[in-house]
Order: sequence, then structure tokens, then C-alpha cells
Amino acid sequence: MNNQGAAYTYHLKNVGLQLLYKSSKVFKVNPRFTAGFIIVLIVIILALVAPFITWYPPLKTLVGKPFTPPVALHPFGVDDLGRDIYTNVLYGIRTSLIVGVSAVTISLAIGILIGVIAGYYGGLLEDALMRITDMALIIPQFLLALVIVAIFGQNFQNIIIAIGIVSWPGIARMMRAEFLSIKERPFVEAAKAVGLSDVKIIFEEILPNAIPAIIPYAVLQVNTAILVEAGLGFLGIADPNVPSLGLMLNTAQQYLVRAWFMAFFPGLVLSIIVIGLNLLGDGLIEHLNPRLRKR
Amino acid sequence: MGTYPLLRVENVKKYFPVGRALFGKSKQYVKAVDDVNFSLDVGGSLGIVGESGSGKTTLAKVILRLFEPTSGKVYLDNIDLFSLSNKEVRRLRPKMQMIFQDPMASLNPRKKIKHIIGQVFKIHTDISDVEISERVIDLLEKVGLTPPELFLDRYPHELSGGQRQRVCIARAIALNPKLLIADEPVSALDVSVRGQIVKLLLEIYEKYKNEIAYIVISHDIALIKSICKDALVMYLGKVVEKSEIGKIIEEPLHPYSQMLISSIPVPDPEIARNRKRIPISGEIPSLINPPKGCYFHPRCPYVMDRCREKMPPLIEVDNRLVSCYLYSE
Repeated sequence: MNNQGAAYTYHLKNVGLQLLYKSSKVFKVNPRFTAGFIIVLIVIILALVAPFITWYPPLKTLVGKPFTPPVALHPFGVDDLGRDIYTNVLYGIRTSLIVGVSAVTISLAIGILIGVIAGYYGGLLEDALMRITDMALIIPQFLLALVIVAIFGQNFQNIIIAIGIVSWPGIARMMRAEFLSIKERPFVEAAKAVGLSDVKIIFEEILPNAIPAIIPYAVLQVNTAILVEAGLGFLGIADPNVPSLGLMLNTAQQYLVRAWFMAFFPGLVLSIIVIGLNLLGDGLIEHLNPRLRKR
Repeated sequence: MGTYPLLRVENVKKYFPVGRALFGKSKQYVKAVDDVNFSLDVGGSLGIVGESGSGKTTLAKVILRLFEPTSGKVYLDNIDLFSLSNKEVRRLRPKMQMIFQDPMASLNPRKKIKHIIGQVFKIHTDISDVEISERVIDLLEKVGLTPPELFLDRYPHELSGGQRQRVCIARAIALNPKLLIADEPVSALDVSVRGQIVKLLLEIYEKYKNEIAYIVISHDIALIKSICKDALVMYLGKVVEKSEIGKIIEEPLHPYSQMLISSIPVPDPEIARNRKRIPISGEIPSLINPPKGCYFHPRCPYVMDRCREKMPPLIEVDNRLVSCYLYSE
């Protein structure tokens, strides 16, 4: 018995080592994933520590002379209202990430629910749900988000909700497709034969096998959500009480000749976030789909 | 305890509609299972043989109500299975279990072995988690996965094919089923482990003889012979012959059974050369438009005029059932 116990701990250790080895291999083999992962990690850390590495409160006006170019005290310069751009960019990263993650959470919730019901139950219900999804897919996301925010008001929550409810159709379709294929697999039938209820089959058997397929897509969706938020901000549709990279770009365009740094730094940071998330998402797709992997 | 029919299958039919019409129902059907009757006693073991596409697996799944039947009745322990609601069937599931063909595909790849087997107890019993893991260890030992501690935390892909099928068997026998259906239990396995799995199935059968009935589905008559007493030969969804397995092998009545038997390779060349061979000719016809009359007549070497007209009924010949005009007056 003791011997078996030892064998068992040995086995566990082995599994742990294998996992470590496997993940180290991912980083080595997939440079895109690695680059994206590092960029996103840095961005997240910056967003988290923003209060500790800035020395002005965000959005506070007249902390410096308007249109001061980058100096030591204001590394990214000062904008038209005398706000520190460096501070606002760092808090803007926070906003972008919050918008991205919460909007995608909303769209995941709606998309998974609809996709699961359509894919698992099928029949007329599926037809109805998928036609609704198709209709939602036809409407340009950006315009719909614009309309929703215009109707319900320009505050932070409304913007998140608007972006969330325009981006679910893709997830619903993917989820349905996954469910359609997984529900035909023998282990689902075996679960049925054992006597599992529909709810348990959906959540315990099929969903854990379907989720990995939509993870890379969800990462890319975060990206889209951030861009939509920035786009709305660029058009001036943003909550003025929340630092937003898009809104900063909107203000900057009027002073582009006079104060290049007002557009440059928010734009640069936004690009880095988007590139990072794109690399991460693509890397994940590549990693999860061995056929795309280069040998 | 006397024997009584544990399982009664009466006029079971399963038709799958083909294509989907925009309005109304589609007119064409695949008759996967067409009017099947048999009964099985406690302690009985029945093999179902037939080519691929003959409806063996569909029949099993209809009996277990994994497929909804088109018509007919199935009684398990005198309970009419087809009249039960889904919920009631679910409660009855522990009594009837199935071992699937491909053990890798029939285990959830994201669950550990202890959860795959433990789940059965979680659904159907109120025992505590500690007791569940004791039972799981017990079961793993019973199916020869020793030491069981080594397998509890593994995922299906970390096991070999034979080990996976043992896990499937453990899951199937977890709650002492009365009816155990094994659908091609060894065809996905290496030849080297087939014998072990057959031995395990036989051991379980010997152990629970007084409470269990077996149905083994296979295209391999030799496998059926090593596990079952009786056999049912199916062709295009219909039963063409039913009798003791030994008799079918020694003296098959239906031309189709004769064809199946003569297709078994014989290791002794002497015997092989001297035995009467009926080569398998033709292919299994389309299930959507089965031939008129006896479904087998286009391939049958003894075809008569009336075979082309009407399906021969199942008749009794020396305690055996066969559906062929060769044996009717």
C-alpha cells in the first residue's frame, strides 16, 4: 500500500512536471502567443498599478500649463485643459480593459445561452433563435452601439452594455456549432444512458468541451470591444467623467498641429493594447488548432 | 427463483425520416429496425449479429430509449419502457446499461476517471462523497484496474484502449444493472486486449448470473459464441433467424446466416478447403427502398419466385426461428 502511495505521488509529480514542460514549450514554439502574452501582461499590470505610478489625480484640470510638451513632470505632456496626459493614458488603459472584459462577459452570457439552447434542443426553437442571431449579425455593430448609447445616455455602464449586446451573435453561432457537433459524440450518449438530466449534460458534459473553442474568439472580442469603445470616444460619445483613450484622441484632433503629443501617446498605447490582444488571440487559435501550427 | 422474461421486445420499429420537406412530413423513411420481437430471461445472454447497417445498434438504443421508438413495446421487468416519461426513464437507467463501441469516444475527455464513475452514484444514490470514492475504488478493482489509486485521477487519454474499456464496463456495472447491452465491446480494441475484455465480461456474467441479462452486439460471430447462448441474426432491420448460437454456427438455416458463417476464416486449411462455402455476393441494399418481398432475395443463392413477392414470416423449425420460404411447406 505504501509502495502504491509512493507510486501515486511520483505520478502526480510527473504530471506537474509535464505541465510545466508543456507550457514552456508553448512559449518556445509559438512566438506570437508569447509576444501577445507579454504585452497583455504588461498592459494589465500598468492598469492595476496606475494609482501608484502616477502623481496627479485623473481628469484633474490645470495640473500644468496647457499644451506643455513632454517634460519630466509630465512625461506625455499636458492637454488643452491642463490635464496630465500620462496620468490619463494610464487610467485610460484601465477603462479600455474594463470595457473590453465586461462587454465580452455580457456578450458571452447572451451568446452562450442562445447558442446552447439552439444547439442542444434544435428544432423550431433553434430555427427561431438562429434567425434572430442572423438579424442581429446584419446590423453593423458600431452603428447599433451608437444608437443604443444615443438613446439611453452617455454613461459608462450604458456604453459597456451597448457594446456587450451588439457583439453576442458571433459567440452564439460558434456555441451552437460546437454543441451540434459535441452532442453527437458517444460520451454524451453514454451520459444519457447513465441517466444524466439535460441540464447536467449541457453543463457538465458538453460545455467544458465547447468552451476551449471560443476562448481565442473571446480574446479577439475583447479587442473589438476596446476598439468600439475608442471609436465611440473618438466620435465624442463617451462618459466625460471617465478617462478614455478614444475621447482623448477626439480632443487631440483639434490641436494636432499644435500639440502632437496629445494624439501620439494615447494612440500609441491603444495600438499596443490592440496588437497585444490580437497576437494573443491569434496565438491561442494557432495553439489550439494543431493544423495551423508550424512544424 | 424461477426465470421470467426480464426483457420483452414486441414489434419494435424505428424509422428515420429521410430529408426534410419544407411543408408536411417527409415521405421516405429508413427502416432501421423493422418489427423486431424477442424476449430474454434473467441469466440469458443474447447475441445480435449482422452486417453493418443491419440495425443492431439502433435496436439496442431503442430498447434503452436512447432513441425514441416509432412503434412497438419494450417491457423491462414488466415495466412498459415506452410509456414512461423522460424523467421516469432516467430513474430507471441504472437497471439498464450499455457498453459502447469506442471507449475513447464514450468517456468525457475532460473528466477524471473517479468523476466519470462517481457521477453514476451521484445521480442515483444519496451516499456521501467518501462512500462514493470507496465504491469507485471497489469497481476499479473489480474490472481489473489495479492499483485503483493510480487510476482515480487520470484522464481517459492517459489510459490504454483496454483500460478505457474497463472504465466503461465499471461505469456500466456500477449500479448492478439487470440488463447490460454491450455494443461491439471489443471491435475498437487491439487484438491483444480483446481476449482480456471478453474474459472480464464473462467473469461479470458468471458473478451476476442470477440477476443480469446480457445482450452483445457484434458482427463477429466468434465473439458472440464465446459470450452468449443464443443469437439473433439481423438483416436490414429484420430478424431473419434466432436460435442457440451453437446451432447457428453448426447448421445455419437462413441463407444469410449461412453466408455469414462461411465468411468466418477457418485456421485449418484442410477443413477450410473441404467446407461448403457460400460466397457473400452483392452489397446490403438501400434501406430507403428495400427490395420487394424478402429483403435478402437479390443476394440469395436459393431465390424462388415467391421470395420476390412477399416477405417470409418468422416460422419455427425445430425450436428455432427462421424467416425463409425454404423451410415452409
